[in-house]
Amino acid sequence: MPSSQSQRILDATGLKCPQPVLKLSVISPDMKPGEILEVIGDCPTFEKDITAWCFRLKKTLLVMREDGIYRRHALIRF
Amino acid sequence: MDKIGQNYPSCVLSENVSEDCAYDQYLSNPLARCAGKPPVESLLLHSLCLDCDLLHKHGDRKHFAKIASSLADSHSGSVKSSTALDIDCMAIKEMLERLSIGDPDARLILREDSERLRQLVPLMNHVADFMKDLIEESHETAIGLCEHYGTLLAQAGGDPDACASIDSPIELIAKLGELINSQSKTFRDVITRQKDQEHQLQSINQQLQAIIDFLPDATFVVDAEHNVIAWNKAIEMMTGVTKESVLGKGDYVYSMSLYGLRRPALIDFIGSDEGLPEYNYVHIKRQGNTIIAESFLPAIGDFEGRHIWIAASPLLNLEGQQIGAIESIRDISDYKKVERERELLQLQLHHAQKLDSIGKLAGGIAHEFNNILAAIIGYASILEKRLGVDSPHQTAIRHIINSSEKAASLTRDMLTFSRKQVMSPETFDLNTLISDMMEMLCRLAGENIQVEFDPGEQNMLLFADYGQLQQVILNLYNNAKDAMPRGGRLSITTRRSNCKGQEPDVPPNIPPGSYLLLTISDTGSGIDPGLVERVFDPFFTTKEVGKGTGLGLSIVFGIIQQHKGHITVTSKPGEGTVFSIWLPEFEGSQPKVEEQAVCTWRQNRGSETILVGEDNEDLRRMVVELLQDVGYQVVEARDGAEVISAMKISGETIDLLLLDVIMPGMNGYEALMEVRNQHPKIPCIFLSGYSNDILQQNGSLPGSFEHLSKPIPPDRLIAAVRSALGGHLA
Repeated sequence: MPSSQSQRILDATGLKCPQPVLKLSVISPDMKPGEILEVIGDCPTFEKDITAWCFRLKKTLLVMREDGIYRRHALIRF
Repeated sequence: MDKIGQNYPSCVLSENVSEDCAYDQYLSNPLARCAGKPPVESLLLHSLCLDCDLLHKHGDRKHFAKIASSLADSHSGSVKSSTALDIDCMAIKEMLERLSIGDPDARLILREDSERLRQLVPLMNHVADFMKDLIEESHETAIGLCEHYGTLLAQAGGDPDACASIDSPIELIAKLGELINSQSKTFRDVITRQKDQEHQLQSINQQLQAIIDFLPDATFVVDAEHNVIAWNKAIEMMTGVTKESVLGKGDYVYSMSLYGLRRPALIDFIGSDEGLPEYNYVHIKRQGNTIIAESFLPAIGDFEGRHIWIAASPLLNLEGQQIGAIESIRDISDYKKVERERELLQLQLHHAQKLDSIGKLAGGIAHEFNNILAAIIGYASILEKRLGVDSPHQTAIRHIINSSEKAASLTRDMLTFSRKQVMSPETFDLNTLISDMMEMLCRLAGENIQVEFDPGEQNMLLFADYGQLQQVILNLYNNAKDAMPRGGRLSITTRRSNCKGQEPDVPPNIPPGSYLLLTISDTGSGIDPGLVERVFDPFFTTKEVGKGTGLGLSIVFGIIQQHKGHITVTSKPGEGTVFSIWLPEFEGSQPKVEEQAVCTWRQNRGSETILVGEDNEDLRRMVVELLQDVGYQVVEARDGAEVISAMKISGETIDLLLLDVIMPGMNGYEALMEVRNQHPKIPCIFLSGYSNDILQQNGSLPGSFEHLSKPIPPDRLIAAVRSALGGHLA
């Protein structure tokens, strides 16, 4: 799913877990309610960590998909 | 490569990339290699092929390159045979790689039944389990931290109710959650307390504002920078300046509203060591840290000038530091007016008291003079009679009598002024009274004032006190004259008025009857409509201090009331004033004085016994000699007590009492009352120099007694005596 221009992206590719979720928390204060963030990662626990993070921090995980080049894309609505 | 793609469908490679790139991606992305979970053998085989290429590129890890070359031909895509040991080595390598990238699901499964390799399996899997726990704990720790971070973020963003999770399996994270929640609760409590305090503060501020608004005095408050922070309703009404237009403003906006000038006000000198601004205020003084003063607000717009009383005081904080000031202003214009009136009244009272003192003095002197004059006139008259009409001394004696009678007239005037004159009603013509006064009134009026008299009808008889009626006319004349400083016309008219109680121009409370209407009008300045009703009030005057007692019209009113008459006043400012007086008309005929005058001493002779009670020895001796000259027997008494004693001794022989009213101890009236207990029908004539309190109560003597005012003309005295004894002897 192509990202819209207004949609922000956190590229966590190459970062080892749990670095992606820590990065996600760091960036989250900049997100406004209703805004959508795309997080890209390739660590083995990426999907599990992002899912847990959204559940625990009461954010909505819209999509979790693989892009065919071994990376996963998560769309989170704040 | 095609075989690799066919054998490992999960490793989908893009058709748009070169084979080498695909390999690079595959190698650099262990997740991609793991996601499809291919069979271990194939995976290992494939890995070896890729590794071979990779290693070839980078030139290290030659051991695995060598193995790979023995397993696969990368150019043809065919897999060569390999040993189980090699495959197991590849599996170990793969597991280590997966562990290195944090894959908690990495497990080792071997094909070779080598004992040495098999011994590695539990150890490697134990390491994998250990790593899995570490990974999961680290992830839980990270997620927990993120969660708490989010909670703190929410709290920092203004959500005090944001709670942290406390059920993390990581004890530290759970404790951290509890700590955040505890701190959050503390913050909430602090915020709640602050809100309560803020609410209380707002309530107090509102109460203070309500109190300031309620204050009847104009009040405003400034802060430390002299900006207005409160401006109550009273000052809005005093200045016409609204609260909204001055709140928060400085630069002496309050002075501008009050005085029309942008200058320091009293409030600006609070806490200042500067001298007080005596040039703008009066009666200014410090009382503690409060400044009190009086000032005057100039007329601004629709507001008239006003006298004000001001108090200014500092506002201090708990440490005693000045944080502002308050000024309260009271409009004392009415108070000042009353104070001026009171001062004026005091001056008038002082003036009246002075006149009263003078009157008492004059009355006292007149009384003494009357006694002396009575003796002079009496002895002169006796001498005149004894010498006979042919005596060469008759002219001299007549001069003595005439001069004494002029002196007696003067004492009567003094008694009139002092209001000690007893009411002596007599019958006379009102027009005659006025006509007799006209010469004097014209002379006093001067050239600028024209005095006119229009006697309406003839025979306008009154039974009244001649002197008091003169005083009424004189007082009204003086008022009219003062109202015409530049001249004018003063008119006196008399008319007969038969009142039936319905006439529009007649006072409503006047009883029906026949009245004589005396009108005195002027063309002077008139009286203000608001003051007309007060003109008869004692001490009320519009004249300058020292020019009037304020008693003139009240005396007029009293005299008219005493005569059962009525007085009204109508006036128009700039046109003049009219006083109308209704006096009961005397229905009888005027006595003929001439008849009395022709009676001679001889005709009034008698032989009865008369008791003369008089404390003045000269006067008593004169009266005794006079009465003895015309044949009467006389018994003398010097005071009331001697009158009683004489009556006890020879009361049966006394035919008439001739008593002075005022005597030491028992006065004449009291003595008569005592005598009447034993001799109820004995006649009495009173002699009086002036009235005393007893007489003043009713304005006339109690009972129907003959009263003769001193100095008594001898003719009148012996005529009155003869009359009281039953008339002329045959």
